[in-house]
Parts: sequence; C-alpha cells; structure tokens
Amino acid sequence: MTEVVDRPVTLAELLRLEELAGYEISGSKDRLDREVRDVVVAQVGGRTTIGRGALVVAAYRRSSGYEAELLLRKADTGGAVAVMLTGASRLMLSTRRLAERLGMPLLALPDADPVHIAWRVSRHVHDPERFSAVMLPRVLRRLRTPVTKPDELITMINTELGASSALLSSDGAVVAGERPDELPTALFERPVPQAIDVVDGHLVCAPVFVEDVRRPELWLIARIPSSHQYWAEGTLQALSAAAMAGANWAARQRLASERDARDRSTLLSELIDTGGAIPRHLAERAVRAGWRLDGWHTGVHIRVLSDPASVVRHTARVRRALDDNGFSGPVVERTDGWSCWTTENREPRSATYRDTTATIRKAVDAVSDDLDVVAGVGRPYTGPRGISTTLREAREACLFADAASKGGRVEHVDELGVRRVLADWYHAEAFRSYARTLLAPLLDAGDDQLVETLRTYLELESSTSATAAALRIHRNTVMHRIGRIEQLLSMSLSRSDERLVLQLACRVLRGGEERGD
Amino acid sequence: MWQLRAEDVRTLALGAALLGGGGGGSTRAAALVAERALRLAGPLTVIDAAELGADAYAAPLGLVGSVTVFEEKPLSGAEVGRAVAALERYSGVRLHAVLGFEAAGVNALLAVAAAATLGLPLVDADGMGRALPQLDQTVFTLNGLAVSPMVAADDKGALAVLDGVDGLLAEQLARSAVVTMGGWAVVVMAPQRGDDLARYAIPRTIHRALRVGEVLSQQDYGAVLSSHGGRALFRGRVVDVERGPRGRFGGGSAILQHLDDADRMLRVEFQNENLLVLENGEVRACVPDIICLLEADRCLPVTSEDVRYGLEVDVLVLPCAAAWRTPAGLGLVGPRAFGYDVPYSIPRGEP
Repeated sequence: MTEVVDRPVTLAELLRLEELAGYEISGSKDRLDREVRDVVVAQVGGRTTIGRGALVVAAYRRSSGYEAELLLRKADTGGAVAVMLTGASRLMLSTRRLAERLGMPLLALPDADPVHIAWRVSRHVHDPERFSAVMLPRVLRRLRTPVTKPDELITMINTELGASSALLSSDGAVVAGERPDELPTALFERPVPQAIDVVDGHLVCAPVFVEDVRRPELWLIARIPSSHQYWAEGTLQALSAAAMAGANWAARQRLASERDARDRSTLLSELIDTGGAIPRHLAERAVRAGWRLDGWHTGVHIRVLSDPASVVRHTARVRRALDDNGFSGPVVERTDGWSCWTTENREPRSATYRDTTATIRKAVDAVSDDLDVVAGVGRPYTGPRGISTTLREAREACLFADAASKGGRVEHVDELGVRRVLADWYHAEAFRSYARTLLAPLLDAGDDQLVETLRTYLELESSTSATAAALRIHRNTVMHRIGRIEQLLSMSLSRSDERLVLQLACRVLRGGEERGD
Repeated sequence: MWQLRAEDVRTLALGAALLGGGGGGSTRAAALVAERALRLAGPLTVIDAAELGADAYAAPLGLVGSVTVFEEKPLSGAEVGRAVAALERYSGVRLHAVLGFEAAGVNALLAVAAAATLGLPLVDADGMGRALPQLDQTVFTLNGLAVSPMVAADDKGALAVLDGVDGLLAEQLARSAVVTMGGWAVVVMAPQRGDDLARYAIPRTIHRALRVGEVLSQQDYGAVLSSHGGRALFRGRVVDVERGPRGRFGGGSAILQHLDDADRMLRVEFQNENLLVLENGEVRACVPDIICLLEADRCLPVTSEDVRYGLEVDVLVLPCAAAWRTPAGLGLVGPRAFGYDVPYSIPRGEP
C-alpha cells in the first residue's frame, strides 16, 4: 500500500467485479495480470479500432460463432488484452484453441448485454478509484440480517470480498475461519485498520472493539490476492463494517452470558438463603436450570485471587476445565469466584474424597495459565439443604488453600482437621485487630518480606533451611531476618507461647488481606 | 457435340457430387433415374451453347426442394414432359434443347434424365457452375435475363406457372409452391435464346463434371487440382459439429483437427453447401469458390448432411466461374449474401 501513483487495473482485478460474476474463461488463463487500458465494444465487420491494452467486448451469436474467431484474430493484431463474449453458451473447440494459441484470455458471460457490460467495466478501467466503492455496499447488503455465528461472518466475507478470512482473538487464537500463514506479530500492537503487503497479496486487518475502546478484543483478518491499491482500500472499508457486525455479535454474546450468570447466581443465593422446605417456585426454577435438588451433593468453591470482576468472562473456561477433568455439574458465578457441585444417587464413600480433590486440582491447574485461582472441596450432603451445606464447607476449605499450603491450591474440608478449629479464630474481629497491632512493627518497617519470612518460618516448624528453600533465599539471610524480626517485635521465637500467638496473627492477617478487607 | 452414354452416368454423378461443394444433395437416386433414361433413350447428344443456334431456344430446368424427400418419393417420370409442354404452350416458344440450371449434385443428373426423356439435346452449360441454394443465384439473373414464365410440376400432376416476377421474388414464390407440392418439384425456367446462352451461361459444366468424376474415380484428388485448378487446404478429422439455424435453410459448423499437427484446427461453416473456411481466425476460402470435403481414404465427396464426428476428410477448394468473381456476382453469391460478414478473398497466388 506504499504505492501512491495510480496504475491501470488488471484483468484479474476486473474479474472480481460483481458485474462480471458468472464469467467462464477459456483460452489463456495465465495472462490475467495484463493491464487493461480501455474497453471497446466490437463487431466483426465493424470499423472499431482495437487499440493496445483494450478489453474487447462483443455479442456472441451462436449462428455466427465463426465471428468470435475473426474477432480473436483482430484483437490479437491490435494488441488487446482479452476478448469478452456476451451471450456465449457453448464455444466450439476451434474458438477455444485459437484463444489458447494466441495467448488471449477469452471470457464468456452468458447473460449480459455487451454495451451495458462495457460501460460498467469501462468506468472502473478509466477511474480505478471506483474500486474502493465496490465492496462496502455488497457487505452492507449482507449485513442487513444480524450475524448469529462468527462462521457466518467469515463465510460472508469470503464470498463477497473474494478473500480467505479469519476472526482471531487478540492473542492470535482462531475464533472462526482459517489462520493466515504469515501473520506479522506487530499487527496486534496497533489497534487500527490496516492493509499489509504479503507475498502474492495483502492481509487486510480490521480490529473489533467490544468493551475496551482502546484495545480490540478480536481481529478480522482477510487475505486477498495482489490487488490494486484502491481495491485493497475498499476491502479494508468493507472489512471494517464487518468488524462492527462482529463487535455487535460479541457484545450480544456477552450480554446473554451475563444475564444467564445473574440468573444462576440469584437462584443459588435463594436456595442457600431459604431455610427449611424449598418453596415450589424455587424448585421449579432449579429444574429449569437443570439442577437436581435430591441426591448427594459434593460442593466445590473456586476463588479468584486476581481480579474478581472477571468472573463472568471466565465461566466458560472454568466449566470446560471441570468438564474435561470429569467433574460435570452446575457452575454458578459468585462474587469471589464460582460455586460448583456434582450430584449422585448414593452417598459417595469417604475414600473417594481424595479423587475429587485430585480432579479439582487438575482443573485448577488447567486454568492456572491465565487465572490465579484456589479451590476448596466440601463433604457430600443430601437433599436441597445439602447443596448449601456442602458449598459452605467448600468455601471454608477454600480459605486455607493457597500455593504454599500443604494441599496446594485445593483443600478438602475433611483434611483440614484441626485447622478448621482455628477458622473461628480467623473470623473473630477482635483477634484480627489484635493481630494487626502485634505485627505492626514489622508492617511499619516497610519490608513485606519480614512478615512473609516470619510466616513461612513458623509454618515450616521453625526450620531455617526449609524456609530458605521455600523462599529461595540463603539460609543465612533467613537467620538474619529472624534476628531482625525478634528485635523489631521485642519477642523471642524460642518461646512457644509467643511463637503460637505470632503464627495465628500471621495467618489471620493473610486471610484478611486475601478477602480484600 | 458429343454423346453421353448410360455407362458414363456413374462417373458424371461422382463429379457432380464433388462440384456440389457439400450441397446439391445425394446423387444416388438421381443417378439411377438418369442411367435408366439413357438406357431407354440411347446415348444423349450434348452440344455446346454456340452449337444451338442464335435463334434457337433452350430452357434451364432442375429439381427445387428437398433431395431427402426426393429420394423417398421419386419422380413419376411425367413431370418434365408436362412442365415443358405447359411452358411451350404458355410462352408460345418451341424448345430445341434443355440444360440444367445447376450442373452439380442431383440437378446435373436430372438435366441428363430430362433431355433423354424429352428426346432433346442437352446444352453443355448451366446457370451456376456449382451448387447454390436459390433459384435467383444464376448467371441468368446476374445478367438480367428473364427466368419467368417459369413452370413447376410435381409427381401428382399439379402444375404452377409463375409469370411477371424475376429474381428473389420468383425464388420465393417457387419455393412456397414447392412446399405445397410436397417437398420438391421440377422447375423449368423461361426459354433462353441460343445467343444469350452462348454469351452468359457457364460453359461446358457437364463435361467438366464428367472429367472430374473420371479423375476422382482413380482415387487421386491431386489430379483434379492439376487438371481443373484449385488447392488442397487441409487433411483432418472432424472433432466437433454443431448444427442450427443458419441463413434461410439452416446449417452448421464443423471443426477439423489436422491429422499430422493436432494444434491446427480448421473451421468449416456450411448451410446447404460449404461456404466459409477459417483457420486461426483467418479466412482460408469462401463462397462462391467450391469448397469440397472428400473422405480421406475413399476419395468420395461428403455432403454437409453427412459430416459427422470422427470422419477423416480432405478439404479442397475449386475455383468458381469467373462471372461470380465480379462485384455483381459476389453481391449475389458472395459470403455476405449468405450472412458471413467477411469480404471475398483469394489467398495470394491461388487460382
């Protein structure tokens, strides 16, 4: 697209015009790159002068098919680039052979009027800028009905623009269509429509903005064969219009999924809040949502550590990860993550708890690339009330799960044992404020590492070498920090009472931070 | 003056078929008719137009209509006699001889049969010098000689006398009478004076057909070219045939692929006769020159109706009568008269 000077259009470019749709070509098919400088309507016996670079248009009458051969000869002598016959249904062998022999593309357009065609095509030949206006109306006409699937959009672009196109997410993953071979990595950095020259063609790229007006979430990319600059420009315009339709589709999808998420969340909250018997209307809604209220429920709570606002957007991802690992059941968006559960006819044996935890761990690992999550698993409970009980347990277990804990990112409530006794402590507001006061000297010292080192040191049974390994620092550094901590707090870690109270304070402080207090 | 014997008829038929240039119809049935007439009447006296005498009269005659129908519904034998009698009665002129208006194809043989049946000499001349589809495409019309009154007779006894019209209108009236008469009729044109025939008619065409037939029966078309002029254009196999509306009578196109050079293609446009030959988008030959297709192995003339896929043929071009190469002649029978928008041309150095 760096070329600014207008060059004449080529035959191949003209053949993409709607006016010439349905043409058949015989004769020389590899001479379509010839530049067309004029369009003339010719008659065999007529006096029309056929000049160099002319596209010769003539009416073909079957009863005088020999005329086509005389015309081919005349066109060749005059230096024409191609002969186009309107009304030609079947050309005889000698006509086709002659075109091949002369290296002259011979186009047949069965239902057309020569003068009309010549006039339409001639406008493009003499004013290539018109090319840029060809595609937009075609695409807009097709976009009168809203796009319901991205594949529809891609098919439409491919047929209307003669392109091979794809809808990509901003990280380059294919949403629909086929990924172009050569995709410049720099593309996604400039969120503006652009046409990039590649081998034998152009990549026309239009950003699709859904929520963020500065950062496109999707890209529409169409590969077109080598084209006149105005053709590429027109394609770019048309693709930008298609991109709007794409954005529209994405926004509609998002709206629908948020509405579904809200419905699910509300239903679950109502189920949990309802004490005693489940009212009939609630039971009906649960059935409509595909939830079984009877049977044995095993709850899982997944908590997002990074950005709780992104919960709805990632539901599909989480559901897929759970499904893939064999945990299928409702997945409901909550304020801090997701509640999920499975329902079975019989009470699962306690031996299966370990399997469930392993399953969830795999699912959490699967999404851990782009989601920082931890999960907790509850024990199985039966009946409608069972759902809220197991989910509450799961949520509690979740509080203890983090990367450093014994169970890793997933905790089963049954394995927490004594830690659950401590859970009440953590929730007590009085102890929490005491903990903050106790650790204030460390916090005020402006060195986050001190609290972290203290916590790790206490969790790992006051082992300096284990702490050094967990924090990936030198053992001497650990000893130096512990000395500094004792000094700042005026406490000694050799005393068991003080050690206990400091460990509790560390845990409470950490839990509180994680809940965003 | 010379004698034509019954034994000569088959040779004459072969030559007449070639000179038909794809038209003129199949000569098979007409040859049988002529042969039988000569066997009954004895050798036929054939005279040159000059031998006729300036004040003597001879009428051009022949078959008009479909040769296909003629083969299935043959002559009753009385048509010519009735038509000539009616013409003599109507015009008050006594005929001294007859001639064919078309000394090619079926009509060369019918002229022989008619002369033998009538017991009159045959003038060795005709109005076309080849086969042409219309009654007005004769040197008589070209030179302003009246062809009416004209009599058409069918096999059932019907007679039609056309008078007061000449040229294309006479052709159209006769043609409509022929349709009503059942597909063909014997037409006898107005009697022509001996001196007019000597001056305008195309001479010695029966003799030429006989000579061509003789040479062709040796299966050597090269000898035809050396003795009668003309050129061999192409030897090829028919690879495509298309038939459809062309001109007044319908026709088609045949594509030939050269036997030795598969890249060469020849296009033959025909109506009744072969009229135009193109190679590489250039005219190789056109009407009024006589464009003949010969079966490559048997050296037999091929009519345009018999052209079919796979047939191997030689394409020969024989020169037409000089009268047709004048501007007026080309106006009457040149390529534009048949709807081909090309000028008549003879490639440089060709006869």
